[in-house]
Amino acid sequence: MNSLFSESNVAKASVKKNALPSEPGVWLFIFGDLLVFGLLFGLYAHESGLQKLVFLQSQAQLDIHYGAANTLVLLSGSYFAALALLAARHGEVEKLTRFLMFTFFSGAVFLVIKAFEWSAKLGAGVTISTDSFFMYYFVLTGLHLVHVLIGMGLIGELWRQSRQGIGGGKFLKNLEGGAIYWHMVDLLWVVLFPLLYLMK
Amino acid sequence: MDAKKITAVWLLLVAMTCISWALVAFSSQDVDSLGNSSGGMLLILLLAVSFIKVRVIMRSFMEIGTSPAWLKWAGDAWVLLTPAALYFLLVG
Repeated sequence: MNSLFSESNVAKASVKKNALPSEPGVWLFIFGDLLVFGLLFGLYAHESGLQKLVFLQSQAQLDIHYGAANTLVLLSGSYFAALALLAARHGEVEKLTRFLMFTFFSGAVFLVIKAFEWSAKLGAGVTISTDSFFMYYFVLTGLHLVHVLIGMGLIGELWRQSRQGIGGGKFLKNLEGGAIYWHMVDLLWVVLFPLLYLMK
Repeated sequence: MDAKKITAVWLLLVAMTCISWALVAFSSQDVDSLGNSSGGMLLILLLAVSFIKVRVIMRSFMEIGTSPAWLKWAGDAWVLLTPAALYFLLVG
């Protein structure tokens, strides 16, 4: 066992009932982001109500299998992130690094699927300026994609630190923050998928 | 949460995603010339399934279920207000 979990009492404190995971600032950022995305979802729904035919015809051009596959990929990423945090709290360094790698990999798979989807659209001449639906489609999925990239950066850095044995209570708090961010990225896609691909 | 519970939550979320997928794949929705859809009940079902998934992610994976009460209230407020607003804006 390396020094990664020498302050495991901090880890135990985090799982006590009514204890706040990570830091208050992380939650402030998370709920700020949720509020912004909630407003964007509302703008999309409002515009959809004003231009029903345009939105229905353009939405029909989306392949729901891409969206559904990416939902399953991100849910699996969240699963690995939760397992990584559990491993860290139990001082299981090998499992921690493995699950963080799997989490990062799920983000990469999401990017590949998104690249296929976007390139098919752009290849068919569909762009952000095609109509209102596709403006929202590219802006919302693009903003979400930026969040996936930031999440991959955070998870990648945590993976690097876990491999180097950088640890202690601060590492565990950062790991909690990184995992919470990753779950938020997953959660946003859980709403975006039905909103953009399924709801008529 | 232990590993078994984490796996159970993940399987539940995967199953709910497949339900949403199947609901759309195997349902028929008529749309009139103004773009009004006959799938009002389907819309409610899709919103319900999605935001139940969101609450499951918040309460289990994000550990809001074992967090202070103010965080639980904040999470539940987002989970209730967002789909309610979306329903009224989409149905118009």
